[in-house]
Amino acid sequence: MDMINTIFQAGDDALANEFQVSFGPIPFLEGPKSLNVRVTTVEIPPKTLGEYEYRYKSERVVKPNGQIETAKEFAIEFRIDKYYTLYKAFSLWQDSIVNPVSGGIAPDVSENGISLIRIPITISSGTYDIEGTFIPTTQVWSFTGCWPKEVGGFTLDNQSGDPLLTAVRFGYLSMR
Amino acid sequence: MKDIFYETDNQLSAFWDVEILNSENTPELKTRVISSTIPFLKINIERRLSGFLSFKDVEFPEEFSITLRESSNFTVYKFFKEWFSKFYNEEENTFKTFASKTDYLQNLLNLKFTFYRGSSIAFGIGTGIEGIELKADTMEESFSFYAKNCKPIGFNNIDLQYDSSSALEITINMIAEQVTQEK
Repeated sequence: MDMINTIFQAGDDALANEFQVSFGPIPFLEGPKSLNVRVTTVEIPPKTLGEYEYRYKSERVVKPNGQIETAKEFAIEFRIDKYYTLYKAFSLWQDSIVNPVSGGIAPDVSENGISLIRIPITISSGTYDIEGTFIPTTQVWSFTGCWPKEVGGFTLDNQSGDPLLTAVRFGYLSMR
Repeated sequence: MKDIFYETDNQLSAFWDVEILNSENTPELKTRVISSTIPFLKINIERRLSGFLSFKDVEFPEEFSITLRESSNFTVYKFFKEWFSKFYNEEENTFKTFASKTDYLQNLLNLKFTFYRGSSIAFGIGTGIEGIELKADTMEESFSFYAKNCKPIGFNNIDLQYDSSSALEITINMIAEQVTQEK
């Protein structure tokens, strides 16, 4: 019994479905749209440090090389809404970075500290109380400077009645 | 065996900076630098027929280059072009003269190449998980080289290509009168 108590002393296990995603204002999306309830999965990239190795006689020594090798991208999968509002917003946001017709590119700069093409995205783990209210815990992943590098990709299927799922893959500046 | 692997860490080759000491534009250029070279003085030695080795002459620091990412305002090119133009008039095809030696020396660039090493770990040990904040700066200067009285040679040609997917790079070549070091 002591062992059982010890296991739960640090709290219950984190559950994969208890999380929330909050976006900075998504360009081309007017008003609050409940993206949160449409998100099905979020992929947090593993934090990776680079290494180098050398030999000294029979020894093989591996040391950190000071390079951060964490993938500079993460993905969010969501159910597309009936009017494709979210999909359109992400698609237009991407088109505003590189215009697919003219080939023009928006400069990756900020005005008064606010980027014109990038937004912050915060993913919080937490728990839901009995009322269904989300209570965030201390584990928060804050992605700064996010931009949609890959939007959509899905298959329309006459023989399926399942909700249409698609993903947006974001590039970002930093993850904290 | 003596713990040679941890006593003093190896100097990592990526932790360096180059700054122009006698320029106000250094901060703008510093983060745009991609690569550079530190040239050194070399002694030439010749072997006589008898097998005896004797000092022959000295090879002074060769020309070196700095490669930088260009900004969309072309600040990098403008900065070095302005420096270049202090010595050579391209319209008249003439070298310029200076009012005094002091004035001339002030227009030569002095560069500082600095290597860095970690000074401490990112946060304290034993402070628990709650409330830990990463330190903003955990690196200290480990060694510096100085390229003194650098004279401009010129830019590398720029290759224009449509299949490139990276920022435009500008390479400026120069030569230093002397390269010194300082801890």
